[in-house]
Amino acid sequence: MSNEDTPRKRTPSAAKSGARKSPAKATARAKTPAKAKTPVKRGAASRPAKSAAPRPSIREMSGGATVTDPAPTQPAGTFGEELLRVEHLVKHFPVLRGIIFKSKVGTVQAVDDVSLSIRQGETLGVVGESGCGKSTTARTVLRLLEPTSGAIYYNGQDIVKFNKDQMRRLRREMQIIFQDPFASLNPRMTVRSIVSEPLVIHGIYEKSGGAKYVADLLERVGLNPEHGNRYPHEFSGGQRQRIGVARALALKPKLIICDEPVSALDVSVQAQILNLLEDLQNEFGLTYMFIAHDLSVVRHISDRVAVMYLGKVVEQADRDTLYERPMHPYTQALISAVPIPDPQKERDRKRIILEGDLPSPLNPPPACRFHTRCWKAQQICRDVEPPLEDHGNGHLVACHFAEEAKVL
Amino acid sequence: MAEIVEAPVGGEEATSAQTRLPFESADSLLVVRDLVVHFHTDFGVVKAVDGVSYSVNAGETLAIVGESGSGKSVNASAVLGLVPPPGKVHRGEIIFQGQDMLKLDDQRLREIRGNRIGMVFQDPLTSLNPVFSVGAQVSEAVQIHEGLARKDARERATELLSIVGIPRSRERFDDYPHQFSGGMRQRVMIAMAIAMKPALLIADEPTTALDVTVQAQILDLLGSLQQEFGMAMILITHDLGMVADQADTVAVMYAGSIVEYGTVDDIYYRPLMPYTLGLMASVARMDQARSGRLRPIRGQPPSLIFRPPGCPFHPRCDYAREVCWQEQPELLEYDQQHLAACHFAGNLPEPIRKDEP
Repeated sequence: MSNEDTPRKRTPSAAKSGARKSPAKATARAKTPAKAKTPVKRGAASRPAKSAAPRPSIREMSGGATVTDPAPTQPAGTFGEELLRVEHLVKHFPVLRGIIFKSKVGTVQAVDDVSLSIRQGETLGVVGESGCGKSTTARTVLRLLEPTSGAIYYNGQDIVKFNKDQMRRLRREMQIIFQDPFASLNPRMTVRSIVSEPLVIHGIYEKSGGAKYVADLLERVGLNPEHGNRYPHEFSGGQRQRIGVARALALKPKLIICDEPVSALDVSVQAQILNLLEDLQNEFGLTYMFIAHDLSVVRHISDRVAVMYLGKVVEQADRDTLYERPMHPYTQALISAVPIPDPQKERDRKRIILEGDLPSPLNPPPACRFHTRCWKAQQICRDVEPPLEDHGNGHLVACHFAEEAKVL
Repeated sequence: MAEIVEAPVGGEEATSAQTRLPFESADSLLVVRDLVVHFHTDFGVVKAVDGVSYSVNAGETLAIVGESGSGKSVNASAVLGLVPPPGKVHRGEIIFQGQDMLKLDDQRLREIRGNRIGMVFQDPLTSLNPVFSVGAQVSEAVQIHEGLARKDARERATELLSIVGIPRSRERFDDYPHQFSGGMRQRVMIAMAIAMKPALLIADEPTTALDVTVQAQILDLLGSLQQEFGMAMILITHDLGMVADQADTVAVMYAGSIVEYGTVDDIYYRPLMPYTLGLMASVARMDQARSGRLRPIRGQPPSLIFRPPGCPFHPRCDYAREVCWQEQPELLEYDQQHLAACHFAGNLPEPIRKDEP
């Protein structure tokens, strides 16, 4: 969307899908039985979920055809076909009490009916405050957490129904970069072994070029390959995050989920990592799901942005629309709460101060979950949950009183 | 709380007659001159604060900006006499309301701290004692400093809690810190800090642990309290947005020294020092459509043990010339009330930029 005014340099979609020509991946793809038998060219079908039915190889897939599809259709544009589509994703965590005989005393509704889609080569930003379910969404998409219900289509196949073996093969194509670059790197492993571990696990270390390939990777992310036999603690935060990026890149994935990749870093180093992520995206045609709480970073890196509040997506739009013309009161409050590094603008700005704290996801407010803090709330907000509706050009808003406002 | 390190104050009385600092005036509340704080560790001497001078006027906000390890927090703890061991104040003066804090004994210092200077720290959970109720901790502060009886202290504490915006403060008085959210805990910390209507509030990353909407609430609260009590504030942060919003004057710290110092408008619109320029260019802006790649400062912040010779920023600087690694530039006034520590301030040569991935 808003492709004309996307200032970022993008290779056209055709070139982008063509760019996935790495031989290693081609063989990897051919090996995946589910995929090898897939006769459908994804490009033609705008709804891969529905086109899934005629594939006889995956019997479970037949269910996919009946899924009614409320998620938005994206106007075709500079990006490739839809790579990932999440439909009605729900992840609830039981709250247990007791030591031996555990009884369920409640449910944390971390993610509740979330639908998203990401196209090839695109960056979808997901913002929200702590506890809004953005990280849980990410982990569920990778099936690091099992969804309570809902469907996750990757390249048109519902991966929720994948077995362990299929999943392992799929994970080559989807990787994750974590927030804390220290906690996510094994302190007892050298950088070289950290980066080559995914290759070894998938049995393609030798085939991919071994030590030479790992050295190239390190160099590509801005690390000195000679430092490969050092340990994570010998690196600064920014360099550690580069190691995390190299590890995620090793298998030449298509989708990388970035879970707060720069939140722990200083501003000057943040910018280095953001630039690196962008360069890699352009070079390898990567697709990012970029999770962050920093709205400035998200505007910079995302093509489209989804705003989450207490397990729900409340607004979704292309990045400029979302920041210039937000429609959901929560998005407006969120944007207005972030101070801008410009003293003059700050003096002229009015800030929307929300009342109270984030309610507990253990017992979220009924109907519209934001109504307890919303200045627009009426009786209907307490009784009827507002659906996520398209307000034009794929600008999705879940609010009974959606209205544009300028808050920057 | 850490013990107070006895400060071997090097200077004689003559030091206070030194040149006036650019923002120093007759009603300067706090004047810090040539402060040096070192930490003697097994790995060497960490020069956390290395010759820092600044002043805060009554009712004004000074923001100290810097990245992690720039010495901004140590700076604040020195003002409070709370430099944790093995840190030591080696030199300098910290004149608060006419008294040199470094020459006061523990007793006097304790009276000023909490009474005349309040403080709010980054992490409200570790700053509150988990085994005492929130109300008890606020009333303890009130009892000690105001000398109130228990019952009166309870009343006063309840009042304070409602001033900082804790709903149903009477009911929540006996709750424990873990029953409060992060924002509410920070409000409790603020209640304790402002109990005595201090003249100066030191806020060390007060909202870093909080969500944006809660951050807006806390900043709003601090702003209105500041107006109400005419409090001066030292705001220590790495968030350039928050500085633009709150500060009157700004000191930019790098590797233990102030590298640029001026009014908030001068720092944001007319930066002189390449580090400040670099910081401004490397933040992603939410209020503008994307204008291309960010321009990060290359390299990493230096270790404070092995500070680069000359200008500490020269290994990362796009403009560095030979003089930059030979001589450390002094913090000099280039413009009215606008100081920078750079050999080429106001007259930068052609950048020599090495792009890195």
